[in-house]
This record gives sequence, C-alpha cells and structure tokens, in this order.
Amino acid sequence: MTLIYDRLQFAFTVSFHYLFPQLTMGLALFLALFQTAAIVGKDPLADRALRFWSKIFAINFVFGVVTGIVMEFEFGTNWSGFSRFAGETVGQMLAVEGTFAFFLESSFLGILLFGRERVGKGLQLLAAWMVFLGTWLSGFFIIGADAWMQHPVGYTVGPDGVAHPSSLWALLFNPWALTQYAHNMAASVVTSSFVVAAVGAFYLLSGIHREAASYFLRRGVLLGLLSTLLVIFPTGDRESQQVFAAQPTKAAAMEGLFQTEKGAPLILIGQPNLKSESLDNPIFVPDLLSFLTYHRFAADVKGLEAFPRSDWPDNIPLVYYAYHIMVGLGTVFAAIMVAAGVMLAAGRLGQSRWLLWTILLTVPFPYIATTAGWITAEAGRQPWLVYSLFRTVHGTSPGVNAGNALFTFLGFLGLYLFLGLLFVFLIGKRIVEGPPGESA
Amino acid sequence: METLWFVLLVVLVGGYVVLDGFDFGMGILLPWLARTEGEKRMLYRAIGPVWDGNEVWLIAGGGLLFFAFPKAYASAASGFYLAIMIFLWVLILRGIAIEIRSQLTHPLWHSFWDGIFFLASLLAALVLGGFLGNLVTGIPIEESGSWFLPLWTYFVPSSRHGIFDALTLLFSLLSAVSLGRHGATFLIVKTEGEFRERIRQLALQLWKAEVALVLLSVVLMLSTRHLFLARCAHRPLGVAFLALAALSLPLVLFFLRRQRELLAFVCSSLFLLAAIGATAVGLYPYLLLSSLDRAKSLTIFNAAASTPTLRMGLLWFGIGALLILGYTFLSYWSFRGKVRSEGEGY
Repeated sequence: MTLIYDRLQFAFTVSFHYLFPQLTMGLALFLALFQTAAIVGKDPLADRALRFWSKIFAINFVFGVVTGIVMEFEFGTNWSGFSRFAGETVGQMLAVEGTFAFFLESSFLGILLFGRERVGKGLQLLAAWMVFLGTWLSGFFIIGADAWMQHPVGYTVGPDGVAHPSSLWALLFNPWALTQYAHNMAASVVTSSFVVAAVGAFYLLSGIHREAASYFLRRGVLLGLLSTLLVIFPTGDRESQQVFAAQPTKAAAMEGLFQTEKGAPLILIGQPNLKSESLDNPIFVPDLLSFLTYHRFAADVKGLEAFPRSDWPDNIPLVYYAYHIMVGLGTVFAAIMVAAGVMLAAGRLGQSRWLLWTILLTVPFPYIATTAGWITAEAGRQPWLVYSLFRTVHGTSPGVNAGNALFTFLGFLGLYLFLGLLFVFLIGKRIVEGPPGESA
Repeated sequence: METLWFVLLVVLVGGYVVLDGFDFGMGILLPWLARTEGEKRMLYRAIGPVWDGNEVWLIAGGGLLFFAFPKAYASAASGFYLAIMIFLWVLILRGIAIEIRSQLTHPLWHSFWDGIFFLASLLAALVLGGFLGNLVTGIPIEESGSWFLPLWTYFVPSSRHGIFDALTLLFSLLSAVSLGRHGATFLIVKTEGEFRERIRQLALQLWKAEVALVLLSVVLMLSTRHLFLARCAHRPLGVAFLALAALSLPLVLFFLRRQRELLAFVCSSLFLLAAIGATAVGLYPYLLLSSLDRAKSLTIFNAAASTPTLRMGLLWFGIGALLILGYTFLSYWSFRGKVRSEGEGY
C-alpha cells in the first residue's frame, strides 16, 4: 500500500512540477531572441514582447522553483532505499545541478527583470542569454540523473550493494541522456511556441493589440514549425530506437506488442487486453513498426511474451496509451504548424480565423503530450527504478507507513490544486492586461 | 576526505541559516512591524531580490548531503518525513507569497498573502529549530537501522520522543526568536528614519528574550549532562566557537545601541554561524546520534559515499562553490542600499 502512495505522490509532484519548467526553458529561448532583436536590432516591438513575456516568465519561474525544491527531498523522504543505492550517481547529478545551474538562472533573472534602469544594454543582453543557458543546463543535469535510471552506465556495484560511479564524465555524457535531452528540449520549445502563438492568435481574434499579436504569432509559428518537426525527426525517432535497443520491455508495452512478430504492425488505435494478451479493436498498418524500428519491413520485433512476466511493466495499458497520446498529438502539432507556416508565408495567417482558433485551442495539448511522454518513459521503466539493475519495490523508505504517505499525498493534491488555480488566474490576468504600450 | 565534506556541508547549512534566516525573521516580524502598505512593501523589497538566491544554499546543501552522505540523507529525510514535508509546504507558500503579493493591488489580496507569509515563515523557523533540537538530543535509530519519528507524542523528553517534545520545542522557540531578531538586524540595514528606529527597538526587545532562551537551553543541557557540550568543550575548535558565540551575542546589543547597523548584522550572523559551528564540533563525527544505542548512530564515516566518489566531487564542487560565493556577492551588491516604497517591483 505504501508503495502505491509513494509512487502516486512522486508521479503527481514531478508531473505537476514539470508543467512549469517546460515553459520556462522554451520561453527562455524566446526571451533571449527578443532581447537580441531589441538591443542588437533596435526593434521596439521586440522590446515590448520582451517586457510582456518576461512578466509571464517570472510567474512561471517561481512556480517551477517552489515545486522543484520538493523533488530533491522526495528522493530521501519516500525513496530512502533508492537514495542509499544511487546517492553517488543520481544524487551526484542533483548536487551538480543545485550547485551550478540553479543559481545561474535565479541570479541573472533578477537582472533581466529589474535591471532595465540599473544596468547597461550589454549586461541586459548577457542576462537574457545566461537565463537561457542556466535553464537549459539545469534541464541537462536533471535529464542526466534520469538517464542513469533509464540506462545506467559508468558504475560498479560494490560489495556494500551501492552503485559507485567510475567517472564523472561517464555520468554526464551518458549517450542515453544526449538523445533524451534533445527530444525533451525540442518538446519544451513546442510548448512555448504554442503558448506564444496562441496569445498572438487570441489578440488577433479579439481584434486588439494587432501589432504585438502579429509579432507573437509570427515568432511562435516559426519556432513552432522548427520544433514540432525536430521533436519527431530526428530526436523522437532516435529516442524510440534507443528504447527498442536497450529497453525492449518498455518498447513492447508502448506499442502494445504481446507476441514477437516478423513484420510487426504499427498500431494506430486499439485497447490492450491483458487477459487475452492481445489488442482489442486494432487499427494498424502492417509491417510498419518493423520498418520504423529496424528500417526493414520483415524485421523481428520482440513482444512482451519474449520476457519473464516479472520484468513486464506493471501498468501496460498506461504505457501504451501514454505513448500513443504523445505520438498522436505530436503528429497533430506538426500538421498545425506546417499549415500555419504555409499561411504565414502566403501572408494570410492573420486572416484565417479557423487556423487562429485551432492554434488558440491547441494550447493545453503540448502540456498533455509532454506529460504523456514522461509517463511513457517512467511508467515504462517499471518494475525497475534503475532499469535492469534495481527494482522499484526495494527503493521505498521502510519507516514511512501508508498512513503518513497518504497524508502527504493528499496534502500535495490540495496544495497543488490551489497553486494551479492561482497560476491560471494570474497568467489569465496578465494576458487580459495585454502587452505594454509603445511609450511605456 | 569525509571530514572535509562534513565541513563543506556545515558551511552550506550555516550559509543557508544566516541568509534564509533573515527572510524567515522578516516574515515573523511582518505583522508586528509594518503599519502601512508602504512599510510592508519596503520589508518585502528588502528580501525580494535575494530570497530565491538564499534558497539555493538549501538546494546545494540538500544535494551535497544526498551525494556525500547518502545513508544519512536517506535516513534523516525518511525519519523526519512529516516535518520535512511540512517544511517543504511552507517553503512553497512563502515563495509564492513573496512573488504573487504584488501582482494585484486589492487590499484583501495583500492581507491574505501577508498572513500566509507570516504563518509560513514562523512555521519554517519552528521546524528548523526542531531539526536542530533533534540533532542534539539524538533520535531513536533502531537495531535494523531504520527509524521514523511522529511529529509529537506526549511532549515528554525521552529516548523515544516525537520530533517535537518539551526540549526540542525550546530549540524551536529559540530559533523563531533568534531568526526574528536576526531578521530585524538585517532590516535595520535596509531601512531608514522612524521606521528603522521602530525596528531597532523591537530588535532590542527580542535580544533580551533570545539571551534568556539561550541561557535556559545551556542550563538544561548542562543539567541533563548531555555529552554534546562536554565534547564541544574538550575540543579547541569547539571552545573557539563557544567563545565566539558568547562574544558576538553581547556585541549585537552593543552595536544595536550604538546604531552601527552593519556591524550589528555581522555579529548577528557570526553568532548564528558560531552556534552552528559549535553544534557541528559537538556532534563530530556523528551525523545522526542514536538515543537508544550509541553504536547505531550514523557517523560521517559509515554514512559517507566511497572515497573515489568524494574525490570526484571535489572537482566540480570546488568550481561550484566559487560560483555560489560570486553570485551571492553579486546579487547583494546590485541590490545594495536602502529600500524605498515607490517604483517598480515587489
């Protein structure tokens, strides 16, 4: 029972936390570009964009910070077994992140937000890029910590039963981390592109702030077009190939593949049936999965039956749906951005109300796709905490009982519901207030 | 090597208590000090640009404990489960309160966040004191090595107490009063005029309460013949820290009276650092002292990461520590001087 609450609490707190950093990291890129256009290109519109979005960035940032501190301590509170095992590897990556990246962002953010009258243009420009660097570096170390749980490298397990790293570089440059990082950062730019473009679309549809709105829309669609394509190819393609190569049980669960098949089909829709170990109501493209994975239509793809049941992910339908939601939404995003890009090139995006409406209404979905992607990665990693090395059941804190774990889980549910409402209210208020006037 | 990392950990904890300590103190004093919206705004502006930098010290300290002493991190975080969760919740609410308060100009909105900020700061200081109390009095680490403390049982100090009993509550109270006084000392540096004078008067009052609580806890620890003070007194470094604490606390009063605000703040910080230093020396080499069986305690040797890993860590932490110091200096330097109630920000 405790294990369930421990898992639910970690899953909930980390998923809620990551709603904020994904916008922080993507928006940091936008802010750096706005700042560059404003200072180097002397574009007054870019300066207005910077002032508007940096206020939203600041609110988003603080929600990310306060919910992020929780994560660092939850390893010890609920997962002390894991902390003992992985303190020198995962703990080391978190310590590096805390020491290097976090203060870089927080210090330069202060200058970016309040430095307009205090410091020179050069330092303001530097601050914007340092905030970008800090947030992206932060993401790199956290992905590095996660990558060691997905694909442990550069370690030996000593007689004390603890994983000892052989070198820092092996941890930092885990090949798994590099692929996952590229995929994740592209996804974070997708989220921010839709947010920036959607605010532009909202103003255009409402017939207000036309000049700033077109600017937001154009920048959002350009970066959105680039990132929605990058998130699929090459990063998504590489990510799925490395899952097939190194985590065959996760890969089979993702695809809903129970039997090993020569010329495996790509499932578009269907419901995994755990009793019959097959998919109900499948709609599929024959041989395509084999081709996508091994670039040969007749290649063998291993199904779950090839592995002992004790190594199957314990929630196969969740992994399967999460993966299909991510891939499905990712495809839709690319289609929307390509359509928007074509209209933009034709100079008609501002007039096509249906496309503006589509962009506006799509805004929650990148968050869903990102969360679904992380559920695929982490629920698919089960029953391991560190893949093929350390089982989740051995990771919990023996002293913490179900009553205490549920108490704090409910506490987080309540507190984060309040934070979520507060965030939507504050961001909504900022958007309704609109970008600052030209003279301000 | 273990000792070196223990020192680094104590330095980070000390830095955190001194820096975030005055943030807590400001929150505790908020309802007693500020009469008008302008005064409140000045208090928020005194800590606004620096609070999240101050919390970096907590994040770095937590990361360091996780990395350098994984067994102690695992043991302490799961054993103090409820108190740590509550500490995290109030840190969330404090951070949100500081940043969100200025987003609306409605007076009820301000009152609401002021109330949250006060309660969260007070609770944070109480819990922090409770942690200190438990480190000193020891915790019931069992035969199996696992332990879990409820928040309280009957408040009677015993070997199987909750996190809060009469003795650790004394530390909590001391922490709240001390950090309140520390916060006031910091605010005097950042304010001027009649408002500053009022803060100074409050700091003087709190100083008396603080001294009374310090003496009470020292007497209690002497009377229970706690090994902690004896160990401290037998080590030259411990004596030095105790002497520094005994010297800096009266100096706070001296400089407060003489209106030397910056020196008073320096002495106040020195006092907190000396108290933490003395605690560390008294504990060394223990990290978590078992109140049931001394042999079951976690020491820096049996809880540490392997020596090659600790050596690996020196490489990046050396660079990181310089950056942290540089950053802390930079952010205090760029927001130096007195705060005003007009203009943009918090």
